[in-house]
Amino acid sequence: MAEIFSPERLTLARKRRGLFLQELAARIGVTAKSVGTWESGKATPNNDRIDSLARVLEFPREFFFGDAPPMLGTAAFRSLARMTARQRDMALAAGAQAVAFDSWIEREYSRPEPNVPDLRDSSPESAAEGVRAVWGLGYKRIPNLVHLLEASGVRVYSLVHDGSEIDAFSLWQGMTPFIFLNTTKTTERSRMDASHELGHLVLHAHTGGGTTKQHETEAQAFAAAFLMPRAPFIATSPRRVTLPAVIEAKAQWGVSALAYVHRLHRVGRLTDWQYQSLCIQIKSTFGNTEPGPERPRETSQVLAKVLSSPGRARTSNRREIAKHLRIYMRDLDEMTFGLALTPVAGGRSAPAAPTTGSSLQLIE
Amino acid sequence: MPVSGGMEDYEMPDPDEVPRRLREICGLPVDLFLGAVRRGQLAADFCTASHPRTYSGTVAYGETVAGLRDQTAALSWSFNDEDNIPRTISPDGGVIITAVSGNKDTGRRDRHSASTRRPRGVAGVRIVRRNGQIELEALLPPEERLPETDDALDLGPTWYLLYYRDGDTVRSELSLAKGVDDSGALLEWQERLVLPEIDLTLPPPSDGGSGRDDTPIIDVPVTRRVG
Repeated sequence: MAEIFSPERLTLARKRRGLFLQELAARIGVTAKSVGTWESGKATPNNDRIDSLARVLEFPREFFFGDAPPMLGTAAFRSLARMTARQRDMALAAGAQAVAFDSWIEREYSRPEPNVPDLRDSSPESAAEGVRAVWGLGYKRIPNLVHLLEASGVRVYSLVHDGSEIDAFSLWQGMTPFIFLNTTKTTERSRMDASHELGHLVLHAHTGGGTTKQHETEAQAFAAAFLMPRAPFIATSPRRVTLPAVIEAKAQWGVSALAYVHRLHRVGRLTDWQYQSLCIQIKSTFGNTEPGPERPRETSQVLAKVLSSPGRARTSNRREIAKHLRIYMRDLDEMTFGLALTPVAGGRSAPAAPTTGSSLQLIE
Repeated sequence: MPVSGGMEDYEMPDPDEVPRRLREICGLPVDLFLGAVRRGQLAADFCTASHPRTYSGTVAYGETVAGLRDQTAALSWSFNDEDNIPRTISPDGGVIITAVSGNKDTGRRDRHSASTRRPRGVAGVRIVRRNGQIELEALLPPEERLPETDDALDLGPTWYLLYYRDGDTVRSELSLAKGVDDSGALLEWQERLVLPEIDLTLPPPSDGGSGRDDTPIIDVPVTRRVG
């Protein structure tokens, strides 16, 4: 049976590319009303139009046929105020693609079951301790937060968004927690983002995803408390808090200098005045590039294992996945931390072995 | 490296060699000593103008000893306070360490008059003389060695962990004295292991990069389903 054109897939593709109806219409030389009727299902574009849509939106032609894409649960977004509808739509469309990819993984592979507690009535500080207790972390530092999240069943995908508006977002899709991380941020920032989103998943599962300013404040407090638990944080903090001491100490926790002094202030080790003057010093001395040992970017271990395992048809798994999702590989790479790619000199990319070092157990 | 100086000839390994030599002597890492010394100095900083003037030195001394003992206890070291000398003793008794405040040459490779800040008392003099005796005996063939009479003599030499605070910097060394005069002033070293300076304004090294305080490396199980 021939597949029929999917209006929902057209909407998804348009939003994924950050286009409004009128903009897409102009690019393929039709009226916005026509595109509107295609997306509402009242009319179906002819073959030539579908070719144009595929070309302009940079999706394979087959993408526009098939089952409707997954509907996302409401997402918790940071920095809501600074984000435009266009940016939000782009991020959510990328999220929907990742969720579709994730259900393929779920069908093909077994992974750790989600184990994220619902601690809605806790303060951020005690929720952070609660998650540490449930996951058996004690007061240990977390060298790789993404792997820790994955081991507890959180699905982690990457977003490529060149802008400061979207750092990360998270959502519960049914019983499965998802976190999407913007990979254009620094490693330290990205860790804090992931911890922040974990805070939303733990504290705000019941709110249906919409976040208020208070939710953001709570998630931020959770993020710091989870990465820098109070007791060992105080015990290892420098006696005299100077800029060099901060630079040295922040590396232990894998956070930025600003996040470090914010936590120091929060636990009462800095007066308001000391905190403010340190923040000014940090910003004026370093701007956006803080010194300190370079920390490798955290990427998904699950995705690395999936991508590096052989495909069922004895071709590359990456190719099979892209074909199954009916997307170009570039879009697949954008949601998988570019794990299949390793930048080389001159800005070109080459396939690379996964970096996890652990092997995939293949049972067939 | 043999050194000639104010206290005769003695061994002083190069800074790079100190960790290896420490392992040979007592099997302990440099950070363990630095941690104990740091703990003593940080504890002393809690003293205010209201405390007795000599108290901060006492606190520093006490907490350095406690730091040394706390950290070595996990490695099966023991301790005793006979004659009011706080000894920390290796599991086989082959090495004894006692912490004591040093003079301003402490922890300086370019100065050869490093010593304890105050002369040794009767028990301290005995310790140093016994160190010298152990060294001499080691040079004799076994049949010429004196029979051990004292139980304490089953134990090995006693090393001093000397520390000296200079503003926000603390210098320290683990050193073996073998000569002392009747007044208790140290005359002669056998070996000095000068430890890296501690900058009290910097946080302690987390764990020397051993990852002891980190959650373990995580392997997320991902298995292809059968079918």
